[in-house]
Amino acid sequence: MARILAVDDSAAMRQIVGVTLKGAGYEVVSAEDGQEALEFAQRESVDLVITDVNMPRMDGIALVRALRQLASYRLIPLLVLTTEASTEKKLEGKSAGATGWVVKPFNPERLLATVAKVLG
Amino acid sequence: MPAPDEQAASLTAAAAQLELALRESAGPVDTLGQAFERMSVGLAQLRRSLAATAEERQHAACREVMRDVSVCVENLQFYDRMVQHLSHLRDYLSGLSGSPNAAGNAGREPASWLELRDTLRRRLISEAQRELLDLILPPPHAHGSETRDGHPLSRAPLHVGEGSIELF
Repeated sequence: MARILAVDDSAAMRQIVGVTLKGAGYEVVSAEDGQEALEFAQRESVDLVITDVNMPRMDGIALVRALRQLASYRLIPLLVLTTEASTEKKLEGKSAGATGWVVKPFNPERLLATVAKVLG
Repeated sequence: MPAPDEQAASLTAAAAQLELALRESAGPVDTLGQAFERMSVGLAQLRRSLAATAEERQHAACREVMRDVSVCVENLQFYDRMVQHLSHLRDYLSGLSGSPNAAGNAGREPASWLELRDTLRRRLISEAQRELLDLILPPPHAHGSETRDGHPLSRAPLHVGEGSIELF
């Protein structure tokens, strides 16, 4: 089963995403901000990254941009999961290299369907 | 009107009480999340073990519990949102109590309130929150229909877009 990296500075949100994904059988690893996620990604590989936007040290958009610079993450799907719903932010995410944009609060079934779709 | 130092003390106490409430709720909500995780993983295992043998009504019961876990997961996200709002409020109150202008003169000096308002607005994390602030505390140059950036104030519900998923 695929391995997914969930990045959020909120412990509750990491847990909520974890409940959703683990219940569907995915392996979930987590990071508290973009910097921690990037350091993890430089050491290990995952099949999908789901990241929040507003986080200390490194935000989610910067993380997406940095991950796309890593050869091993060039083709990995990167989903942004955020309260931000503005078109400007979405475009910023898209141009950074995000695969998709999910606005919180997410519906677990719809998130799982999207995860399955981007994982192919 | 209370003396400036009393105002500052009240603001500090309010910020501290918010901090206490946030800390007190973190542990129980973490426990709740762990319980949901166990339920979710346990249900997935149960479904797999039932797959070949169980009657349809057992599958249906299993699906029903999974739907309820899903409802819990979706609604638990509002706790996270509340924590974000309260954290901003705590920071705002802390900033206010520590500001030399705020406690004593804010009511009398419009510029200091505007500065504090701008500080709060910068701390907000989404456009929906910024629009909410603009509706509650309109900037002085907005005439009821524009934000401070000159954009029309949204009259759409503030939760438009929530739960939406867009693949690029």
